Amino acid sequence: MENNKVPWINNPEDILGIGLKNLLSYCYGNPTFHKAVETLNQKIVFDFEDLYPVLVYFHKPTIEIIPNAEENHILRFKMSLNTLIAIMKGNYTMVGAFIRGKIKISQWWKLLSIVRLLKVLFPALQKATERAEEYGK
Amino acid sequence: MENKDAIKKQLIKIFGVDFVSDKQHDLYMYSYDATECKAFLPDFICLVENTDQVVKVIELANNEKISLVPYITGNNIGGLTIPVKGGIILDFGKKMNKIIHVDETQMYAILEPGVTFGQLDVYLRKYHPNLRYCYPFAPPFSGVVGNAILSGMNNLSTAHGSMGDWINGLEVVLHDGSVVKIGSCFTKDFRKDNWYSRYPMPDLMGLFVNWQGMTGIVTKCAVQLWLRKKINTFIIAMTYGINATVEIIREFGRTELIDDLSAVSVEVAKMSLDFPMPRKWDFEPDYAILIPISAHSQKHLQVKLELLQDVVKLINKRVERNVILTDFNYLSAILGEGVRCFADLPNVVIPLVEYSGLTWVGCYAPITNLEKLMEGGKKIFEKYEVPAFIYMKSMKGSHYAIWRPIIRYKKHEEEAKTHDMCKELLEMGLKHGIVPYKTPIWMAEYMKEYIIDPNWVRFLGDVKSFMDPNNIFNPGRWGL
Repeated sequence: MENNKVPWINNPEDILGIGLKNLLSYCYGNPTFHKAVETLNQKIVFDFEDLYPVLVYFHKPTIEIIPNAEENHILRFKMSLNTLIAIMKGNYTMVGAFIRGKIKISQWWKLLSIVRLLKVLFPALQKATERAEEYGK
Repeated sequence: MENKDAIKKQLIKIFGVDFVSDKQHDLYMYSYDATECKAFLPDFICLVENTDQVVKVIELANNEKISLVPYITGNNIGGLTIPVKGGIILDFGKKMNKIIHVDETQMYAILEPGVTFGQLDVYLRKYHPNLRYCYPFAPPFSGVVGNAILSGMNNLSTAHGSMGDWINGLEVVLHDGSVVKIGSCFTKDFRKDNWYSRYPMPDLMGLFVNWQGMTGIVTKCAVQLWLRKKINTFIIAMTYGINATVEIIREFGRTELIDDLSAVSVEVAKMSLDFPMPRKWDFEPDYAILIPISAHSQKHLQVKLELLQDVVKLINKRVERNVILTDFNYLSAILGEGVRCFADLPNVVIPLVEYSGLTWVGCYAPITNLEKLMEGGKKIFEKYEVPAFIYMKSMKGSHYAIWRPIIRYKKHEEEAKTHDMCKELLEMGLKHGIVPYKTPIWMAEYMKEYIIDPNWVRFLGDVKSFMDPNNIFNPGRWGL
């Protein structure tokens, strides 16, 4: 889905922000996904090792993506881009990556927030994986 | 032109009434290209179908002292088919576009001048699925032979060099109308199976390659094909800073593990994602380097990837910020469909077609000077407040490089400014040893005046006079 056709996410102009927006846009129109986004209602930082952090503010029903920002977040996921891709490829599960230290989560005891976030991320990652596998054929 | 009607009659006799035009609305589209090079109208357009017609039109051109400009699809970025002295455009793209023969065992294809990359790709996939050619970052309707005889680069260039290196043979019509076969195909009879090499006889190919149609008209070209391996995939490196970028270009190129390597400023990746005038933040990576890799098996691929990871580890010890090396298929699924235009070739590369004007200072460059070129180029882009669009490539195992700053602009509105920018890029680049390819006239003239040894210039003129005594072949190129 083209970035500029998704009205409920702002228009980040940095490369990772563009990517996160595209990722989340895969599930646009899916009511379960929209509900999961509404339920989440938090600021979460995705800190990509060797790149930069991106703050994703889920505030119903919109999502705001801010590059190189971390303020007032409730959760912070630190991982490499390759870890994210390894999860997409099925080399690790999200939990497996966490246990192996591939993903570091600040305030990991906030399990409810983590579960809510995963409900948003999983379907998006699944769709992106399907797309990647098509590219690889 | 005094005897235009008489010439038209003769052209109709050669090409047929439906394939000759002197109507203004037909001539107009052949008068310009995407660059800022000045437009000139031709006098006639002729759609060529066979070599015999070329022989006859050369005879006519010599008699009438009228120029001949070969044309395929007109999307070179160098003003190369703009008829600066008017004359006859010989359009090979519409009718003289047959794939004459593919030799499966000796891995070459004999092509007519109008064959396009898209056409060849479809043909090979259908009839010779074990073979492939290569693709430039140009639309599928670009001509193969034009790119080959102008030494264009492609998606196998890091492994095998420029397309000019892969020409096995040519059929050329000379100024006197004689048809000459160059290369191992030089036998008296035409045989499809002997176009396998340009050596070891005296190499006459150089009289035609990179001459922009100034020495004869090419009517057949044999190009080398390559094995299509079972696995073809992409990785991408993202880099911060000039040093890390150049290290990847140089070192990956030398490994002989990759098919190709194309580095673009990160702004270019964003252009392909619906941001035509992207902003660049300091915290973002500076360059994205796309690396096609082919392998015979998963195991072979795995070994290649592990070896490349080892190279990255060594580079990371030398640079300020780590290089990120990852799987492009997955990254592109995250970033968006647009970035696939750099991978799924032949393709329309979105950032190259968004504006009415496109020009560049496309150069072969010493790989030792990439840092200086990148630094100098960046400053010039900043000065002109244009998002950096710099494309670089390791060529032939990193023996040399491509450095190509690209400028998209609004045609008829920004040509003067764009030309000034190109001139600055050229002047800066020449200080660091670049040589522009598909060279526009103005660049050639600048180099002749300030850079090139006068003996070379004189020799070039002597060869041109010998090959084309009446100066009918694409006159004006290189100031000749």
